[in-house]
Amino acid sequence: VTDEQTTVELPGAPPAGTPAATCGAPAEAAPPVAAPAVEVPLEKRDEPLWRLVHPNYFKDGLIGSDAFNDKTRQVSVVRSSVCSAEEAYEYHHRAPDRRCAGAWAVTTGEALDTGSGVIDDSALEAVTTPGHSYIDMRHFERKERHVAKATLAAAANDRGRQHPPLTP
Amino acid sequence: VVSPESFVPLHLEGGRFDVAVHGDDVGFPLEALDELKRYEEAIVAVAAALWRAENPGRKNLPPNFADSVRLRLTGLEKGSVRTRIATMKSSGKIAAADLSWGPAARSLFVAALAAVVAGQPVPIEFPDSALPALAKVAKGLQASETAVFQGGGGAGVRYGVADQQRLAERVRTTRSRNGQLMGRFTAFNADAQSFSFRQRFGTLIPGRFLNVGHLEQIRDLTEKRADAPYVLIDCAYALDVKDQVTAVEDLSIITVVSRPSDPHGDEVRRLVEFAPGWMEGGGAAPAAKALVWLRAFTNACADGEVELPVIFPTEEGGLMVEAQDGAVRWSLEVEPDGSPLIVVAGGGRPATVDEPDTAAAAVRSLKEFRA
Repeated sequence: VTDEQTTVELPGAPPAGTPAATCGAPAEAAPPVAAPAVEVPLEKRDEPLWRLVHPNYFKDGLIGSDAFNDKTRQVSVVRSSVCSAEEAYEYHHRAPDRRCAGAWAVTTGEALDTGSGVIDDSALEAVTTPGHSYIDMRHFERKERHVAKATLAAAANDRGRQHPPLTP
Repeated sequence: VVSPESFVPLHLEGGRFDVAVHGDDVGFPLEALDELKRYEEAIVAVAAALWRAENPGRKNLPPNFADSVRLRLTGLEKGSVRTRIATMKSSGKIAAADLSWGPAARSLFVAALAAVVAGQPVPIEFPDSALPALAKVAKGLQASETAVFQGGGGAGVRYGVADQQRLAERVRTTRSRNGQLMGRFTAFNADAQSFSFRQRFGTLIPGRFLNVGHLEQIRDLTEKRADAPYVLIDCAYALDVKDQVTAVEDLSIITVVSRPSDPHGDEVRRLVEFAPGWMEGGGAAPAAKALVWLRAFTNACADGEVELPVIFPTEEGGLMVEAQDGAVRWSLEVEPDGSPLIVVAGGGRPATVDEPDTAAAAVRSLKEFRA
């Protein structure tokens, strides 16, 4: 992929190469983050959230706003405090036939500013993805949802793909 | 030799079969034996069709194939007319793999009957060649009688002569419906006022038109090659028992969706050809109204000498047309019903929302964004 974007360092994200707490990291890595017992709203505004983007939402160096949409109106993301972008990407690829153009990032604060909720649901039994959370857009009407997903896609696109790195 | 593990549940109730139950011993009315024969004929027909579909290069069924599928009445269970129908063990002349056709056929047979009872189309995977045999099942039952077929667990499918008559009618005739179809004209006969139409993601079907006023337009749009223009036709069409379109009976309006000579014809065509399931099995194909709107937009871009933004499908069958300048995004979403909405957002500025009346208005908005 050729693109003019460059990956930028994110506030609150561990430096590149830092092992994550619970996402495929070796046993001697940092102690695991205590998993919440229920769905927990996220409030740490500068924490990056990885969004895995389907290849059909990435074209000519742009990710489509619908990359931040889901039929359930709960847009899955992965917490950077649990997984690095690379680990989130690799985990996503473990499922057979699952395609992904890469991991992009928005911060919790950016998601909250759209009026969305940001919920960590990784403690739920049905959830298997480490650090899984979701951006909650269930309360939006069409216009609000469009504004929210366009805002998040703009921020993520401006920041650049976090993994794999885009080569200029 | 009969395998005791291979009994096929078939329960007959009501009318003559209840009479049989009333005595101490269960009996089976001989006049109803044809019903069991029809059942077997349907199963054999389905199994043979499934085998042929899996073995397109082979002309004949394997030796003794039918015997591997055939059924035998081995007795009746006391207390009701629960037939003891069994499959036969392999005679040794049939490869082990071939013995799976019987269960597969019975499973599909029961699924088809369940669909008929529920008033739904026969499953698309049910072979056409077995439809006549399927339509005869239960033909000899009386109105008060029911056949209960078991397959794949559950309570079984209760099937009566009313269901049989409804299916037979649907197999014999096609139903007409008015609506829209998208596809390509691939052949055309002016004298016969007929054409061939390759449906988008579907089969090639014949069509005809009564109004000669369509003649020139169809001639202009007919192209044998794969890059023939895509069109949306408002028409009357015929449906078969599987709810598949079999023919266009007449058409009233022809709307071009994409054509190679359009300034951005290739890009629109790329979106037209997004097949259902494009996103991990989900993802609707872009809807016709959204695509018609997109063509108008791309043509307006060309007219206004505006560079085409990036276009994406949406999971729900709409389209997104987008451009970004720094951290600010211009985003046009066209819903599956063709309704457009433009959002300009990002970069910490307040978002703006606009509903353009026309494609030209959307292009003006894009120009302002880029200015």
